[in-house]
Amino acid sequence: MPLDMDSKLKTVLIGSSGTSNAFSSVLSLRRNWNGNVKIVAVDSNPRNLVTSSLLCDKFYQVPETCKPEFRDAITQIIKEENVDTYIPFIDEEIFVLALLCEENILNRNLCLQVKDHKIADLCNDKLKTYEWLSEMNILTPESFRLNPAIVGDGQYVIKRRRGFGSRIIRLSDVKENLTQYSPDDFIIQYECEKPEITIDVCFDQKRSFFSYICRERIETKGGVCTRARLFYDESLEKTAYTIADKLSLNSFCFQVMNYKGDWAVTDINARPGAGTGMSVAAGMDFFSAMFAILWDEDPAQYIRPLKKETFVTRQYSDFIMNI
Amino acid sequence: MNSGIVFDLDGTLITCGNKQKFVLYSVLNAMDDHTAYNPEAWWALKREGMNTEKALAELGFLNAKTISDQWKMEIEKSVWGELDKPFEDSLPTFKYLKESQGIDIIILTARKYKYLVLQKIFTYGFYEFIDDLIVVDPFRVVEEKRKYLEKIKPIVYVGDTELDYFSATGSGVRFIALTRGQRSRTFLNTVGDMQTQDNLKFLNNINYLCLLLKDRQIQI
Repeated sequence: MPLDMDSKLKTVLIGSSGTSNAFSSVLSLRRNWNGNVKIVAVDSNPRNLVTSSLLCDKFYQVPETCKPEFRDAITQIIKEENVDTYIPFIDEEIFVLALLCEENILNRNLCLQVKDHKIADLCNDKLKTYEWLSEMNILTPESFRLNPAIVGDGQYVIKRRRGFGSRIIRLSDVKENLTQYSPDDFIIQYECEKPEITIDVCFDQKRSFFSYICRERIETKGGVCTRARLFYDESLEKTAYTIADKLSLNSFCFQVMNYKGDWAVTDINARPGAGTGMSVAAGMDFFSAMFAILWDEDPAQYIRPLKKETFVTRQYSDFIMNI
Repeated sequence: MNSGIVFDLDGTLITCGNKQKFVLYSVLNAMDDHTAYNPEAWWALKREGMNTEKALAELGFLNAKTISDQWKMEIEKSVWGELDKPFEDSLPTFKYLKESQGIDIIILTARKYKYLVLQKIFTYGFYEFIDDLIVVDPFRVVEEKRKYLEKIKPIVYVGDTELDYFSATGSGVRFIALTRGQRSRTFLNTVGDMQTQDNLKFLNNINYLCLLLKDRQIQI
């Protein structure tokens, strides 16, 4: 049900709108740009299973991002709805969108954070992330292709190369039966130790504005942080700036864990995280800042630096989707 | 102690229309109601004093009562609080009053849950400037607010509704109504003889503050 709109409005497409970060984005759009933005949401789930759709003007159910039909479906929606800003929330989706831009299937003027498929791929592929971080001299846990011949006795885990929130498999548990894991899909990585910290980052190169916050994942449920400690750390700030600058990312998060006594980067997500909403609660609205950067507005107005270490917990709300 | 300035919260320091409009939008979406939705018209009617149901009926919604009942349930959810935000001048005004003038700042608001208000006060950055936060029962707004205003005897009470006006006049406290919140200037003028302002700019004026304080025979 579209709001009363005129032609000057921005049209934002929220990808994977069933995710919690998508819902936070929609809230931030309605809070700060209210009715002056038309929101189109897509998800692989039907509308009545996607909370964000309650605040959106249009909703489309689309094929999963990993399916080839997704490309055509999303291209058609972008064209039909005159979408000028696209916010993808799944790493595979970021990659597909970057490809579509590079292939000139989508308008190059589309506001989209990652338009270079190599950067999208680098963030989505843990092995490539490892290689890039090593090249940049940023500490990252030793990672290599799954190869039984070089498996040592160290503290290693098997991880999917792509995707997020993957289950960790200890190498020692499956060492005798490694053939079940395809070397194309899995890597071996040194197992880091807790705590796990996510760093939310906002970087506007044009305005020389940089902000970040570290979020210790005290508790996670289903891979999403539910209890967090927010704080600043100078060494992580430096790492955040380097990643933002070298990859030209303006709104993203990355994870670090304890690796032999130091912070090592384990993951880079070219998007706000599922727990980024917890930073918003503390006054650091990374979602609004993301839109501000994409639309050449000042992001600083949305970020109020923390005055003290802050603890944030998350509780879920219930919504009836078909009244 | 200068007795300070007391502020209402919703519609005075933070927006209140955005939440109301988009909660209605979410209810209509969940009901798959395609009656032409005009949030600004609905909000304008509410600002003129109409209640939620009446304003919906006025706009042609046949099931206005059902929508209104659902809206009343939804509006209480803390998650929708994220649809409102501080007005641009709220924090700078606090900063000016507190840091430049040393005036005490008290927030006096009617909400069901104090802890939820505290959360927002923190998120918005108000926390470091306020001297007190008083949350009263939303079903006894006038009596409760009047009681506290009588006790505090502030320089002025800044609010945005007729209830704020009644609380202030009942306690003998000077009242200034902001017209950017729940009620329009037109409506407020029909309620009583009150001073109205569009925003908080007047509190950033040293001459005006001196006048307010002079009235109270207190020097900055």
